[in-house]
Amino acid sequence: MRIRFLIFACAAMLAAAAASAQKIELKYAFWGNPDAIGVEKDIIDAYQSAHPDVTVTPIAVDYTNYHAKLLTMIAGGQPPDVMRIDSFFFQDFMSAKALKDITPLIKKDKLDLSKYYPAGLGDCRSGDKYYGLPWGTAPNFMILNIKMFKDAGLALPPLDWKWNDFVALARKLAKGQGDSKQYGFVQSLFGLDFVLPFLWMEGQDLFDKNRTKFTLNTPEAAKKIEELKALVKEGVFTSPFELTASDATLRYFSQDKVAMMIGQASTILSLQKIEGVDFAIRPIPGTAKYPAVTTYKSNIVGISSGTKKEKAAWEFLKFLRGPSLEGETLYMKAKRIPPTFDDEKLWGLYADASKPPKDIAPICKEIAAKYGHLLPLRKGWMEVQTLFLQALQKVFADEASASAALAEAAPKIQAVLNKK
Amino acid sequence: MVPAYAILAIAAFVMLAPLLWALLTAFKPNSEVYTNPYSFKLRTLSFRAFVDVFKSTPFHIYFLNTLIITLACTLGVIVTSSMAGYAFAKLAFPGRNVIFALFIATMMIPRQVTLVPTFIIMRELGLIDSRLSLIIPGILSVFGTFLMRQFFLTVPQDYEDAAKVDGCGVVRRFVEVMMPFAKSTVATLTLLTIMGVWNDYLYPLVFLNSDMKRTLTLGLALFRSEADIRWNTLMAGVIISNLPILLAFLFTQKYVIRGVALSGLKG
Amino acid sequence: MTLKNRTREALMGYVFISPNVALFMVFLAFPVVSSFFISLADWNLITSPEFVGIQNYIDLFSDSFFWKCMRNTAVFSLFSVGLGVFLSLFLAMILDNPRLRAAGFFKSSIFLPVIFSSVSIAVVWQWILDNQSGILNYCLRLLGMKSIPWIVSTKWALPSVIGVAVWKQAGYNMVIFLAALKGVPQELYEAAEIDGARPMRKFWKITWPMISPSTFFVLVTSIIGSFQIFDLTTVLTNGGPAYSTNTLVMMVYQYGFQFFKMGYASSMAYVLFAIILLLTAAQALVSKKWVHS
Repeated sequence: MRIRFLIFACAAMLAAAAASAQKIELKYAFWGNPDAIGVEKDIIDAYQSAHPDVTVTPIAVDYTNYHAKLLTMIAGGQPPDVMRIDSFFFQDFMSAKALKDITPLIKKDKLDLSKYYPAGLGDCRSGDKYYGLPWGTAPNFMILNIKMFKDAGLALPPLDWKWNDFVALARKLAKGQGDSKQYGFVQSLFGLDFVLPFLWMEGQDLFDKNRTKFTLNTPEAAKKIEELKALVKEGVFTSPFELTASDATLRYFSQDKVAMMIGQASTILSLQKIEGVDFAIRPIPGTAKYPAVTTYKSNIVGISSGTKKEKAAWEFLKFLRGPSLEGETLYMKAKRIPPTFDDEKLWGLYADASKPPKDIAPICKEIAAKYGHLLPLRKGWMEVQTLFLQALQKVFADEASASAALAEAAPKIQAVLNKK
Repeated sequence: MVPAYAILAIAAFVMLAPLLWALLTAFKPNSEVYTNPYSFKLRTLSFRAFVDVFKSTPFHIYFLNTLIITLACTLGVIVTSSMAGYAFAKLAFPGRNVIFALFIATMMIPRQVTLVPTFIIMRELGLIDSRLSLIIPGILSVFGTFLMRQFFLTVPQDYEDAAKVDGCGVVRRFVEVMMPFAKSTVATLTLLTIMGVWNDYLYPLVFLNSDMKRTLTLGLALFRSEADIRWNTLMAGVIISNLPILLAFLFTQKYVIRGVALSGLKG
Repeated sequence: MTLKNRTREALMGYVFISPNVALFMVFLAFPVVSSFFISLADWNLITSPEFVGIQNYIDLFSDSFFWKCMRNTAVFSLFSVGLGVFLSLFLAMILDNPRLRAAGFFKSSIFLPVIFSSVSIAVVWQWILDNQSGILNYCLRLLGMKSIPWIVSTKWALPSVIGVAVWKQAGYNMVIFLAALKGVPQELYEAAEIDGARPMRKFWKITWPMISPSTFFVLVTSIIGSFQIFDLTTVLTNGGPAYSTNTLVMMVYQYGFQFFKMGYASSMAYVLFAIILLLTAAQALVSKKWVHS
């Protein structure tokens, strides 16, 4: 009797030991503020209940220093198993082979990629190899202050509005002096994704098709930049030095000091939190010849090439970002980022009819169909962005003409591109 | 005399007013932050900001972590810096000045650049995501060693000599003769170390991973990364995170102000 | 001392510094030396570093962004140290008056900003200096003046940063000067009074030489600190507008962690180190002339 009990006990202990030994721990890195982190925790909890043999440890820090931490972990030989990477940095990570090629895994599990918005998938690949799955694919929008339009007696523009319509509206909306000054549009130099639409509409682009040559050192680009500068001088656009922080921009917008601004999905979130702000969204206006200038941005979640738990990481990645929509549904329920997939149900979950902007789902669909434009992302993006924005800032600060500034920046940018 | 008071009053006002205003903002409800930002009078006293800080993050855990790390480091720094400072000031051994010069030289390298090699060492030691990763290197303070050395240099040699004549060994001279003189400077070192460790951001960012190990600076950074910064919550977070140092300062005030002074005496 | 005693003392010396030296070797010496080797390489932090010799240093000297950051940092250092030391000494001299009442209150108030972290200070001042809603501009408008674009104009951003830095550190150096002033023998002043010396003469002939060791300490530590400014500028202005407040250490961070050029960033750090070292050595040499011992 005793011996049987002993054997039972030993077996039970061994089984427990084996089970706990089999419990896999995955490290999942992402950025966010406390609200966003809460959403990720919910998703992790959902995954862990469905997979009791896996523990997912979140590694979350604020966005500003996230990639520095990620790089330190990788350099230090302790990469997370699953990690989210901003598309601006992604090409560098990919070319340095920090991420696993998941193309064979996609093929093996017959993942149906057709439901993803193509813009998002484009950012995850190099050639036809996939190194991650998209997260938070969304366009930039032109956000309009409905009250200021009403007060000026102006109707909201249609979706296919053009640059000339936009400037005319901005001129009508800008008025006043000093403390009561109102502007038509926020001219910001926050990033290339805020500036490139203006150049795309003139048929210009940052790089050539192969993304090996810097192609903005042109008279057309210089002319456009001078045009923007003139609008700032005229008082129609805000000076890029006046609103340097995104919260200052939101403040101006919500206090009816500026009628239009370019924003992202996160901007919409922030505006919804401010009481009494009614706003609409539109695509970014192009020209008749080049109507599609609305920037599309996506981020990527991938598996580290150094992970020792490839199978478990892949299962988690599929849950998080796969077309089975398990993770995506939870993201949509939190209503923080628009769907990465072209799916009615997801849009239904995300869109909140009780909050502005109206018609976000159909407008995003129109943008995806007609007005979207991908960023020419590549290795060295962040450095090129800094060099280019420096040149632009010189122009807006009256320190150089646009053509001179572009000519000065061109060889420096080309040097970054030439580096293998 | 009157001009002196006027100048001092202006100086005190300039130093205190911003901090007071931050304090007041923390007590304003969010709507008032924009509608009534300049008023030093509170229309409504709201603790909402403070509650929000604790609600959206496990701030009390961050607090505890920071407290543990700070206390451990401070104790360690006091012991090691006093000992090394005394040795560099009063004991003769070959290579003393060279070693000290090397110590000082490392103060001139920005910590951002030594971050990655230090991380690699921590990984080798298996200390990533452990509070020890911040405590163990935190026990060494080159600045603290410098401070204590400068102080011990100002203590007249006669005391040492008298003790030697009495037959006191190095340890007894250190503990019974030198350290009693150092009270002010040790109080200063305590406050400065607490300030440095409490407010460290970059190294905790990189060495700690899990939420449960996070320090206050990391928690505070999470609030700052919102596009819609809620200034009252941010100010509340600032106040809560600096409160302990403020208390430490108020307690050690007298000693500190004397101690900081003495550190500057000898070149 | 006898040889035996000398040996014992030397051994105890090593014992007393051993915890520091051990930690120093592992956590300071090794990373600092590694960083030097990294500066001789091209490293994106993901793949293995690639040796490039002194190419990074060569590239650095023709990099206009580097020189811009250098200029920003040098201007910041010059003015924040110059103004800061002057202000601290001035306040200390006013407080060095035994007949002054509430001296403790004034001393503590002026010292208070020192204890808050640079990040907290920057956050508070970001709000105060806000062009539109900041209380400083509000006061200016009340007085009938125009708002000043403190941290959003290329003209005013660096001065604003300097102002905040001086505000934060003034108390610390003031207290050092206060103690030095207390150490000046009263008899010297009395003798000068009898000779009919006026205040300025008393200051330059008596006060200044007597407190010179403290002045030297304050100058050296302030310069070392000012060259490494990072948190304040990152939070207050993020290096803007138009990179007018981008400092050297910020550039190190940007190149090391955002542009995947850790080797280049390390070379910058070593150039910075060389500059600080030269400045400190120069001060030490010059100090023999004006620092009274």
